[in-house]
Amino acid sequence: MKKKTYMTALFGLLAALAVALSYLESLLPTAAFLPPGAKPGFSNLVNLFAASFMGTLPALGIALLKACFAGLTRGLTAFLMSLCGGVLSTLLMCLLLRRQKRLSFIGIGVAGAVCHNLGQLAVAAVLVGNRSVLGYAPVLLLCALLAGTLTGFVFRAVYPALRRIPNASHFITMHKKDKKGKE
Amino acid sequence: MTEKWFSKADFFLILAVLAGAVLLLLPQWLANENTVIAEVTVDGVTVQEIPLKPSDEKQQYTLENGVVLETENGTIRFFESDCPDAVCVHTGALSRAGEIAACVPNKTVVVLKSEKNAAVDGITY
Amino acid sequence: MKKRKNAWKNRIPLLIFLVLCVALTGCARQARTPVQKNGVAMGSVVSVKLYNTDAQTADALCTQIFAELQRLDTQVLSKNTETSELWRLNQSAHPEIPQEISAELYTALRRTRDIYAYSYRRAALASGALTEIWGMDTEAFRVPSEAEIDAAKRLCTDDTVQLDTENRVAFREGQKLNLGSVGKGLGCDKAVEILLQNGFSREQSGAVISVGGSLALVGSATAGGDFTVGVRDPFGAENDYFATLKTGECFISTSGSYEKTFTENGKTYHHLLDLASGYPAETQLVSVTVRAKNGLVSDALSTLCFLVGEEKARPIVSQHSADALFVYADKTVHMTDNLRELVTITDSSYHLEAL
Repeated sequence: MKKKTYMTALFGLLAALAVALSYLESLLPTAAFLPPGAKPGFSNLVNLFAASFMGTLPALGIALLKACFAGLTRGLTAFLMSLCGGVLSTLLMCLLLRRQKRLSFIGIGVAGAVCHNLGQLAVAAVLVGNRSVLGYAPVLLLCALLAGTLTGFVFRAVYPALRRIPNASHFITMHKKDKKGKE
Repeated sequence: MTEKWFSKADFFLILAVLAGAVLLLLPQWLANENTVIAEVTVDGVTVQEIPLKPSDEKQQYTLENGVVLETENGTIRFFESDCPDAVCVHTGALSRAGEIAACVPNKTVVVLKSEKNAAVDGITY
Repeated sequence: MKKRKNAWKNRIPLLIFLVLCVALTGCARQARTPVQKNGVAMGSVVSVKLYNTDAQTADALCTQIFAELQRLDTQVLSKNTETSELWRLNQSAHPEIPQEISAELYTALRRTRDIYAYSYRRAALASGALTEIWGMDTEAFRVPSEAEIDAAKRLCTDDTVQLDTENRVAFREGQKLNLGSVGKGLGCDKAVEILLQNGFSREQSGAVISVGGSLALVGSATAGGDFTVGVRDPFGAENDYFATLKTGECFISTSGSYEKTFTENGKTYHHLLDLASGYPAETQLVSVTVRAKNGLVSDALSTLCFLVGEEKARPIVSQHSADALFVYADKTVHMTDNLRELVTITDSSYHLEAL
């Protein structure tokens, strides 16, 4: 029971953090040379944390809440784009965190960011009903590479500290098992 | 996943994304190389945009004010105009981005546009 | 040893990150594609090119610029439109009774006269009598008779033009004041005024305005970068240039004998009339390009330079803190010192004078 309360509180905290970070991001001036919508993706850090320390479902929940926030502040299009990008990238990150041994956090961050951007682009293409939007794909890929590397790098840097959080659960245990099995 | 900072797999993933981006950009780069669009304006209003391709066959466009334009092999020129001096017809064919031909009496201007930047920002004459 | 290898590996992501940063900022040079609007105003092609400006703002600015040029031409400057102030003024000339005119027209007349005062009587504000008989204003070109030219020449002097009282002008009957040689430059000045009055930021954006080949350059094309301007090849087609000039904010005008030409009885005449002879200027020059701090000055100086020749023009150019590029019939190119670093000759058949 205690653990459940703890997880609920943590979930709330993370959701708030994700929303706050994506709001902070929106305050950044848009650089003229980047396509509209290119963001550093700070809140993906939260997703990555949730995906690795809490599990797939809470991570998806945070993606959904973030999308709701985007929807409330910037409308239906923003909701759909955020949802599609967020869910896709969270799912892929969860999968990569648990089901393979080769990629590090940086690789996972990049994969997540790429999925996020491509998911958003797909929604944009469907909504606009015009394939011309897809011309943005290469630039968005490069942006994802940049943002994903940054996310992964930062996460790997703070990872040792995060691991000391009490109760931070199930991925760690899995991870330790993996390591033992390997040795 | 691995606890390493950076693994070989990361490297290949990044490489793959980069390659994907370049592959997607390639057709755009190639397309920009050759596609020039002729923008036709009459009295400041764009009435027609004609993409010019090197493979184009001869084709004529008649504007509402009677001016006739002709495109061929990636070039465009004033073919016929009722203006007295016919300076526009004598200007000849345009083919490079940034080039301008105009029929002042008919307020008709043809400009070649391209995604690629023109070599100069303007020409003084 | 192993530790070392790891340390190196740790830096790879940082390296990639930095490389990507550089690569992506590299895209900044391309920025947004400029918005360009073209039209016809003041009897010539006008194009407005705005860099790093969003489409909506650009549209609004262009509309205002075209409207302003239209107004300037039809309401103020035009010598041949009955609606213009200058046309009315020319009809009501009187040597003793000064006519009251708008401050806008007065300033234009005064500044033009002050520049042409140094033209060794080859250019003047009151050049209308001659340009009219040659059909220069209406593009109905013809070669007038000796007698006609002699009579007109006598009217083409600013000695009898009184501009001493503000917003008042008096001149002899038969004299025709003519702003044709500075109109495009003045149009550039007005266009820039419109831009700056309407929130156009010269720090963040850039503009190239061409009024019939007279250019106004505002702000910068790329962040902090200069504009590249082509100088028309006097022997080439309309869109050909033989040299490029890299420059920041300024105004550029060119006068060349290749513009507005006509041929009669096997002889080709151009539009730059030398008031001293009454005929198109006979000179080895084929074009002169002037860079100055405002449009009217650049336009007036380019005409003046063409008419008086390089030697006499140089001191006048430097007096206005302007720069000039002289092109001769043998494709030799001379220029003032400030331009040497900025001009690149792109057509190898042209050559720079030896120092």
